[in-house]
This record gives sequence, C-alpha cells and structure tokens, in this order.
Amino acid sequence: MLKNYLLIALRNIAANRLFSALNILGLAFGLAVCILIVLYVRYESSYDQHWQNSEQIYRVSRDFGNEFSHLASIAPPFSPLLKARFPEIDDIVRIGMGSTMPLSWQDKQFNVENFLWADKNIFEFFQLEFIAGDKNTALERHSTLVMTETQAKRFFGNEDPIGKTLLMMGQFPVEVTGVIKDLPPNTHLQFPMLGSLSSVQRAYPQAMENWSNNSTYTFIKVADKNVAKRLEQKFPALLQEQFPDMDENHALYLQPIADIHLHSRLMFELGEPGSYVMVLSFSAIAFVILLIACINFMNLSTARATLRAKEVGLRKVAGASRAQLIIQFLSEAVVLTTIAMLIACSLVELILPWFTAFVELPLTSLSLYTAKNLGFLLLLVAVVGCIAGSYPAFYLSGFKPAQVLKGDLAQAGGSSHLRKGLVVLQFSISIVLLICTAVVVLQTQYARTLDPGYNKAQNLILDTPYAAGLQDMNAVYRAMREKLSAHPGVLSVTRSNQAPANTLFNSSVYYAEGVPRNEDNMVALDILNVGYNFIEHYEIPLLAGRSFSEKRNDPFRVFPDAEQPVTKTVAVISRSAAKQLGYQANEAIGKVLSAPTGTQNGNDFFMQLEVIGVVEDVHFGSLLEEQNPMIYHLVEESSQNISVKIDTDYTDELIPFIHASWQELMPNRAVNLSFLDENFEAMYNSQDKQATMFIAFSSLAIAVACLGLFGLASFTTARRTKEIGVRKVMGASVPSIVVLLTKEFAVLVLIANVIAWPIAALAMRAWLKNFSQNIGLPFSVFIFAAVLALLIAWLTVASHATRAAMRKPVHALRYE
Amino acid sequence: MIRLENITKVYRSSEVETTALNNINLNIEAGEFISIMGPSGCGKSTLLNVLGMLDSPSDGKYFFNGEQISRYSERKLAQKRKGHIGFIFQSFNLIDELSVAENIAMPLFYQGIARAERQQRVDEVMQRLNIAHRAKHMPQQLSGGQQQRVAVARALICKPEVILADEPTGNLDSKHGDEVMELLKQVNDEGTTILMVTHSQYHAEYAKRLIHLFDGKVVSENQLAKVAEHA
Repeated sequence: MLKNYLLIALRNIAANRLFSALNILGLAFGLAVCILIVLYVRYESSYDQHWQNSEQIYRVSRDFGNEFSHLASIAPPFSPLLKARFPEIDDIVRIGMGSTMPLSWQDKQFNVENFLWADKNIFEFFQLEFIAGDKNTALERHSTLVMTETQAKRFFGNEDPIGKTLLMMGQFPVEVTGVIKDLPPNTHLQFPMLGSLSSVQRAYPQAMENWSNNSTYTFIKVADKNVAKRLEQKFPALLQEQFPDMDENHALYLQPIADIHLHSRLMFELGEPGSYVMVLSFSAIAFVILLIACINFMNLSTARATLRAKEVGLRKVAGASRAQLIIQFLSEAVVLTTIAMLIACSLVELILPWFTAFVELPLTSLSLYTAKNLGFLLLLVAVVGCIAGSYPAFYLSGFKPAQVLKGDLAQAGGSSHLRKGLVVLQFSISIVLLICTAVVVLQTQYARTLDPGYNKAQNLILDTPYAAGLQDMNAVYRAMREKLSAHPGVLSVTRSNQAPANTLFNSSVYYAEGVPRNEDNMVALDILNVGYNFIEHYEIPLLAGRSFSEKRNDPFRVFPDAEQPVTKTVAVISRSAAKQLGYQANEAIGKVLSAPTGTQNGNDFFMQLEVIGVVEDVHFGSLLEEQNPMIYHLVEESSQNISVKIDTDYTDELIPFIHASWQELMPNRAVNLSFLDENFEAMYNSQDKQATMFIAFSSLAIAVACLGLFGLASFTTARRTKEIGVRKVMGASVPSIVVLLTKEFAVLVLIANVIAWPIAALAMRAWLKNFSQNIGLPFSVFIFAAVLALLIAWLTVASHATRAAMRKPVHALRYE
Repeated sequence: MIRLENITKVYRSSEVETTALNNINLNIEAGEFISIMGPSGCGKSTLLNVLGMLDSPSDGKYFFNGEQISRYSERKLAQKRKGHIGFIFQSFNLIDELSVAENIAMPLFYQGIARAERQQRVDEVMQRLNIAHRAKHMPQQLSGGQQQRVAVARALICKPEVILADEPTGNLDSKHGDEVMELLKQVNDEGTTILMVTHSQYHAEYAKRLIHLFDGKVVSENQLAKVAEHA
C-alpha cells in the first residue's frame, strides 16, 4: 500500500512539474532559512556552556553610582571580602579590565587588543588547557603573562616562549610564564594574553583597594542554582554593613556565565555582547517563512484540486475510504517535503559561507549531520509535511464522487474563505516584514545623517600606539604637531584619549560643589581626556564660560597620590552634566567639582575640578545610543589619538607626509591613519547588517508568498475558465478580464494591510525605543509596504490572468 | 452574408492529426435559418466555432459581409464578433455569480453601452421573452428551459445579425425544447439569421435549410422549405 502511495506521489510530482517545482522550491527556501537560523541561534545560545561545570559559574555584577549604572565589573576589593564572608563560594577569580597593549619582542612589535589581567587561579577556575608552563604558578608573580597558542606563534614563531621577556609599552619587561590553547570562539572571555593582576596591584595599590573603582570582572563558583540564589539574598546586608550611607541603587547580583552573552548588556561588558532580540527576531522570521511556505503548499495543492477531483471520485467509486485518501495525500506531501529538505540542505551548504561571513560567526553545517540532528531534520520533514499536507488531504479526500465525476467542479472549489484567509495571512506577514525592513533601513540611514554635534568633516585620525613611555608621548605629540602645522594643508591639530566615533569608555563619579560626599549626591559622568584646542578643533558649541586655554596656562590634570592626596585642575562639562549636577549652564562656571579617586591608609584621595566652561551635548559614540552627560579633562598624556583637520585639496600629499613625519619621530613604529567620516560610517555596520538581514528575509518571505499567490491565481483562473470563455464570447477584452481576475486578489492584499499595519506599528514602535534619536513611525512606510505588496501581488496574478484571458474562448468552452 | 471557401480545420497533437473540417464551402444569406446535423465528431461544433469567430480555420477563406476575416488576429476577431454575432450553448453558459438581468446585460457592458440604455434594453428583451419576473434571480434558481430563455435573451440583446446556437435544446425536455425552438423561429421571422447545430431531426426541421456533415465534409443540403412544398 505504502509503495503504491509513494509511486503515485512520485508520478503526480512528475506529471505536474510546474506545481511540484513551485511547491518544492517554496518549501526548500523555507527550510533552508530555517536551518540557517537554527545554526545561528544554536551558536549564539552556546556561549560559555563548554566550561567545566559552567552552570556553577556566576559573575558578580554591580549597580552603582546612579540608577543608570549597571556594571558588569565590580571593585577589586570585593573579591577577598566575598571569599572571606561566604564559605559557600567554592572559588573566586578576578579578571582585570584591559586595553590595547603595545608589546614588543626583539624587532617584533604588536598592539595586542583585549589584553586582560587575571588572578593566578584563573586557569584552575576555567580549566584552561596549558601547552607550556605551570598553570599553578604562571601568574603568581608580578610582571608575568600567559598567552594563547596563536599569540605565541605570532611573537616567537617556533621558539619556546617560556621565560622570554616582552617589553610592555616599550619599557616594562614582562616574562612569558605560560602558553594556553586558543579559547573557543563561543565565549565572552576573549583574550589573547593575561597579565598577572599582581602587576596592577604593585603599580596602582590604591586602585586595587578602591571600592569605587569597578575595574575587575569577578566570577564565583557555587554548588548549584539554589546556593547562588541564597547567596544573592545575602548581598544587601553585606553592602549595608560595608557602606552604611549607601543609596538604594547600590546592589550586587549574580549572573550565570552562560547567560552573559545573550542576556547581559551592562556597562563595561567584556567583548561584544550578542543580541537576544536578534536571536528572537530571527527565530520568529524562520518560523514565519516556514509557515508561509506551508501555506503555499496548501494553496498550491488545492489549486490542483480540479485536476485531482476526478481521481478522488474514481478512487472512491473503486472503494477507497476517506482515511486511505488522506494518507495518500499526506504521503505525497511528505515526499515533496523530503525532496525540499534535500534541496534545502544543499542550499544551506551554498549559502553558509556567505552567511557565516555575514554574521561573523564560525558556523558550520557539520553539526547538522550528527545522528541527533538528522533525527531533528527528519522530524522537521514529517511535521512540515503533515502540516502542509493536512488541509489539501482533508479537502481533496472530501469530494463527493457523484458530483466530481459529473464534472461539477464548482463543488471541488471547497471553502474559498479558508484559502483566501490563508493568502491574507501570508500577505499580512509579508507586509509586516516589509514595514519592519523599511523602518530598519530608514532608521539606519537616518542615524548617518544626524548631526553628532561636532564637526566630523575633513578630519584624519592618527591612532598612535604607546610606543614609548607616557611622558615621552607628550613630547612626541608636541613635535608632531609642530611638523604637521607647518604644512599648508593642515588646518588644526588636537589630541584626545579617544577619537570621536567611539563610545566613551571612561566614566567616574563627581560631586557638585559643597554637597556631602555620599552616594545620594554622586553624579556619574563620561570622561574624555583632551588637549587644549580640542573643543575649538571640533567646533563644539560653547554655552557658557570658555574652553581650555594654553595662554592662560590652564593646568593639566594630575592624579592624586600619597604625596598629594588632593589635586586641582580645570574642566569643561556638557549641558546635561551641568543639569545633573544641579546647575544652569551659567551657574556652573566657577564651581569646583570633586572626584574621589581612592583611599589609602584611611586617606581619601580626590581631584578638585573648577568648571571653566559648559558646552553643548555632543554624541561621540553612535547616535543610536543615549549620550551620557560628560566631562572634558585637560590631560597632558592624552595623545593616543591625534586629530588633524586638513584642507581636502591636499589629501593626497598629506597622507604620505603624515606617515613620514611620524617615522622621523618614531622610527619603526607604525601609526594607524583613518578618516573620521569613515569611522563614523563604520559605527553603523552592525545596524547595516541587521537591515541587510531584514531585506533578505523579507524578500524571501514575499517571494515564497508570491509562489502561493501564483498557485491560488491559477486555481481561481481554472475555476473561472468557463466564465472567462463566456465573457470573451460576449465581447470582453483581454484587459477587462485581467482586471476582473486581479481585483479579487487586490482586495485580499488590502485586507492583509489592515491586519499588518497595527502589528508592524506596535513592533516597530518598541524597536525604535532602543534609539535615543529615531525616525518615529513615518506613515509613508505603511503606504510604501501596501503599494509594494499590491504591486507584487498584482504582477504575480496578472501574468496568470493575462495568459488565461489571451486564450481563445473556444478552448474554455470546449468541454462538451 | 457569410461565405466559406475551402475552409479546413486541422487539430494537431504531438502524434495525431485530426481533420475536423475538410474543404467546406458554404454560402449563407441574410435571414436564413440553417440546421447543421451529423454524428458526433463530424465537425459540427468546429464549424460553428469557425463561423462564430471563436476559432480560426487552418486554411480557406471566410467572408463575413464581404470582408475576408480568416487571417484576423484573436483581438480583431473579438472586435468583429461584438454586436454582430449572438451565441446560444447547449449548457446555457450563464455566469453563476451574476443575476439573470446581469447575465443578459453582459454583452452590452462590453460594448460600452451606458447603464441606462442597458437597463432599458434588458427590460425590453426580458418582457419579450417573458422572463421579466426572474430578473433578480440567480441562474441556479431557474429551470433548464428558463435558463436557456435567459441565454437566448443574452444572445438577442445586442440585436445581432447572426445567432449561432450549439444544440440549444440538447439539455432540455421536449416541452421546453419546443418553447426555445418557437422562440428561435420567431427571432428568425423578425429577420435574424440563425445557424443551429442539433441532434434532433424534429428540431432541425424548424429550419429552412438542413446541412449534413460527415467526417468534416458537407454531405447533403436540403432546402427544407422546397421539400415541404413538393411533399
């Protein structure tokens, strides 16, 4: 029996090539997208699950400063405190925040990104695999570091790295004490090297004891979830005890390490966090495309009903039961889905290289072909086949033999409401996707056109490594500025620790003048360290007071230390910072802010900053992010980024000139040169990708929906063959027939719009809330989606209708 | 009015070639009533389709009111057809979704005639055919005879020169069949040329001239009126 069904299924597929092709193609695309997205989602959800006992590892995070400061990192002294107070903590380890670190060995010099610091027990804690060195002692001493296999090759080739000494920032020697295997890509703990945290302890002892210096990521190991939960409940009491005058926002909490990548978006996250929203939206899109493909299948199959009606009638006359017919049609659907799945797998192989490059994740299809996953694919085939085949199966098997054999196909029409409902559903989904795509694309474009508040034109950014000692860099900057300024093409030169088009990574706590220094009065401000003419260079509007002045001998910032626990300097603040501190722009001038920097031997260290100017708020990072209130410090060593404003007529000769000038000052040290407007564009790459994904998926959804519409159009046309014939005999023209046939579908698409608009509006309103500046919800987007959907649907149907209308009426009427 | 010269119609499928009409020569004068008879598959309906410009001949010449139209495109044929030819089918071919009045008005609609005039002419023809009380009914609500009356009304609505009827009584019982034939006779008496395909010798004899087809050829022609005269 089964063999008979399969045979008939295959013959039917072969006999109706167009329909089978449409059916299979639609399903194959749906399944392929589904598989790709499953690969992506599985990868994104796999982060940090590979650590031994990963479910026992938690990160301690902190709410601190104000209600907006939710930090991924906490202060270093918490680690010993927690360990001492809570015996249920089996193990604890700290990873110190790092930065790009210039390291050299002999003539090799690299700027190593994401250089981190760690406690010596990190290797035991995370079970990191050692290739060379002793994992128990590797980071015991200060001035030691452990590197990954790749980094070891990069610096030392095939030589043994153990015991070799690298020069950090061109001056501090550090010894390589271990080499570990490269970390798997699916962990948020990405580091090429770990320096020993005891080096930091030695260099900045007071920083390691500062409860406000949230510079270490702290991980703990506990027995299980319940222990973690109980432990978390004990934190408030601990904080209360430690900080009696703390404000209500101050809190510590635990995050399971495996949840960090997708679910944690705190300040100072280590590495680029994944997007749970993306994972959710792509999962939804996969489901929706598959649903559209299934609906297609239903519509296309019922479209063929008129052709199958006679077969059903004859089978019933010959004694087939309805159940047998249902099984027959379901097996046809499963056979088609199987073929579609095979094509889908091939499609996945074809698209995967592009897709992995696009999402920048090392996805492979290999994981698909394990026994477990093959089982999943088979299950998917069965489920999709049965869902897609259900409606046609029940519908076709319900024909009454007497009527269909007599050729009464009006009855074979079945419930046209359901079929139309399905088309409306498909188009509603497609229109929602169209609107979302348009909004995402427009928002991305809009971000680019926004005025960040500073003048980004004509600026070249020199990203200079810490090639020499920090003091020397100041001299290098001055010499460089002198050389550059001599060139007629150079209009202005300035410096800062971060170039614009980067989110500011430094922030600290400040108090307004005269307020008690407690947590209630803390104001967290983002910090940009700049040189004298930075504000003029970038044409940042001054609201009150003045900017930094070299002529007036404004003092550079000096960090307090044991000899000088209180230092005095000047600062410029932004409009929103003034507001946060409780001042109008004018009032702020002359006020002295204080900024605590640590405590040593019971002495508070702090800086006193006299506000000399208030400037307009500007967006240094992406305009899609909220710009925090900020403060400009005048810093002598802040010369990592040199901004050069140029006359664009000289661009071609200036680039080699800048390189040459740099080489003269710093032989054999490379400098990175980039255009600020290009960096500005690059900030939106991930949004661009999101937009591209949306475009790809919504196009696909619409294409698949159109396959279904095509099927339904052919069904309707087949049903109305007689009518078309009669109308033509009565003198109807081809266009009038086309209009007649397409009108019906136009109505369906219009209904789909009515359903889709509110859904899309709700979804997009929620999405746009993520951006501090957004396009709102332009009505034109809705009209655009409606017109586009209508046009696409119309073209799909009209092609069919025209063909039907062009036929000679005698063909339509020749059934007698 | 209509002249066919050596009309041939060949249907080709991938392997089989069927000659449906073989060298037909025929002259039809205005006001004639012609019955076409013959066994199944002899080419009656094909002949009617060619005459009705629903199908083009493979070979030969077709003169309609002196104009040679056998090579006209589908579009030009449709133009020619409009208003000149009315059709009546065995299975009525009414559109189920349209009411009686709307079915009848359809040819006028496609001629671009204004609504008011359409309405007036539909009313007239329904009065004449005694179906005015059915104007708002849907085709399925009518008996076969009534449906065919509607079809006749639709054929008459644009006052065609020729009516082509393909077995107009084939689906009707004898009483309703007779009614339809009386109607056609009346129409013919008012001057409309009628060509009718039929299997019924009895109904064929309403015509003035009887043509027998066999294997796509005209095998006999009777001037029924003359036969009757001599009987």
